[in-house]
Amino acid sequence: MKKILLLCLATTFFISCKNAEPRYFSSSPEIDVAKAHIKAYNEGDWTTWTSHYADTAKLSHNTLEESSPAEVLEALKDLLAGTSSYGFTDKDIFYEMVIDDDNEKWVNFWGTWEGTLAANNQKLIIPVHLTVQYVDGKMVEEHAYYDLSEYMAILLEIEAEMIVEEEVMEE
Amino acid sequence: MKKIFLIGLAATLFIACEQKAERYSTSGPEVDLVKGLLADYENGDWASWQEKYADTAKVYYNQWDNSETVAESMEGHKQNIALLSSYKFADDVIYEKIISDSGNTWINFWGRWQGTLKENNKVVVLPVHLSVRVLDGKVVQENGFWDNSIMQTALQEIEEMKNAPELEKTIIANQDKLVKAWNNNDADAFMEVSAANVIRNSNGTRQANNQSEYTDMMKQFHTGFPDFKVSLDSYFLKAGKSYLNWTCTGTNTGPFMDNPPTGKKMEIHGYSVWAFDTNGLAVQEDAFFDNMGMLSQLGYTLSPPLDK
Repeated sequence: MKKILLLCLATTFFISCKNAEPRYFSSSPEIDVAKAHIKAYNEGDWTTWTSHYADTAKLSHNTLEESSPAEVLEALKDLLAGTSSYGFTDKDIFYEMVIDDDNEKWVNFWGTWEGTLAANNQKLIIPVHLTVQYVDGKMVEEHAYYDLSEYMAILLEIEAEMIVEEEVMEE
Repeated sequence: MKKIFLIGLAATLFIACEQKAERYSTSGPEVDLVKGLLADYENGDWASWQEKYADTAKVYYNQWDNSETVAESMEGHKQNIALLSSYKFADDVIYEKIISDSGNTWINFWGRWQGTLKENNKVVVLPVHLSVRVLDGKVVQENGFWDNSIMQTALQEIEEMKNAPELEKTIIANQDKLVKAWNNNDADAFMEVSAANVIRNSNGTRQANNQSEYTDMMKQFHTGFPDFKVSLDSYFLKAGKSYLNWTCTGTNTGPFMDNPPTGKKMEIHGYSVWAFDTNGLAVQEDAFFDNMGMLSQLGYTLSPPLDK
């Protein structure tokens, strides 16, 4: 009887263990998509970049407002237009996937964006965090966190210089 | 012997199982530690805040390479907070605990920081991500990610306002007083900054023709929503007029427009054009907002017209 009890106990643990599916991953098909997504961004391959999103994907970069991938792409292109080179470096780059309490798959990304501003060759380094929900291998929700203050400050500086130059020319 | 074997097997499976499940969770002492850290930050309890860090903790805000010490980070927080009349994280925050491949315990946090600038009552909202490494019950590393340019832009606006001509300064100051009067249901404060025959139009319909009618309307909102609050989200001034976006919140625990309380909360976003006279006194407000949206939040429904 005791033996049966113990067997049951062992089985129960085994089953409960089976139920405790892993919820943290440092590699997964979704992480592979995330890596391909970063690669497409680095290469400016916007067709591939767009293909990773579901049609109804909602993106929020540094805001609570939601935008479509096409809207965010426009904004990214605007930001990148002022750079002579840009991309995520291989240093300080981390990917992970978790399955949260609502059984949603989220890929978290931490990376280092490096770019050079065309106007004055100034190099910019911006740490970036993305947290992205995947459904059926597609990105459906993306939240991005990165500091644009340095970038904005440089743009303002350049603008101010241009105004001074214009004034000098007018004189 | 078999028994021992079985017990051993069960124990092994149990331990293996526990280890597997623990790599991701949303609770536990480390999560509580970070929750406490944010509570200390919100309460300005810096002694308690500092205690939660290891002495050698490294803080990285929007950078990877140059870390700050806890003392330096605290100074930074204090300097930023000095510009604010209030600040907090909204309630819809997310915490998770993960154990990385290298065996480190990290608490990831996603939240919405909200601060009100002292100078102009402007509310600044920043989505914030923190990734905090915890070891032996202390924070040993903190990485923070958010867009500082949002705050910088708001501060620049204040600087620009400081250089604004006298009348604009008066209008801005009076606009702040109007918001305060609304929040405190303070009829006297409202009268100080408005003209006697101040007009209010709501969605194109005249609602008040003078100060007393205007303050009666304010009172009506505060009777229906005793916790009624309005915040000024953004505005710009042009030719003696302020074009502003606002957000109203409140819980309908009192009678409102001759209807009994519903107990429900509402949050509405609206737009007002305020006109000021040459003394900077408010003379007219044209407010636009989704009245039906507000009533829907309170549980009112719209019925189709009855058949003839």
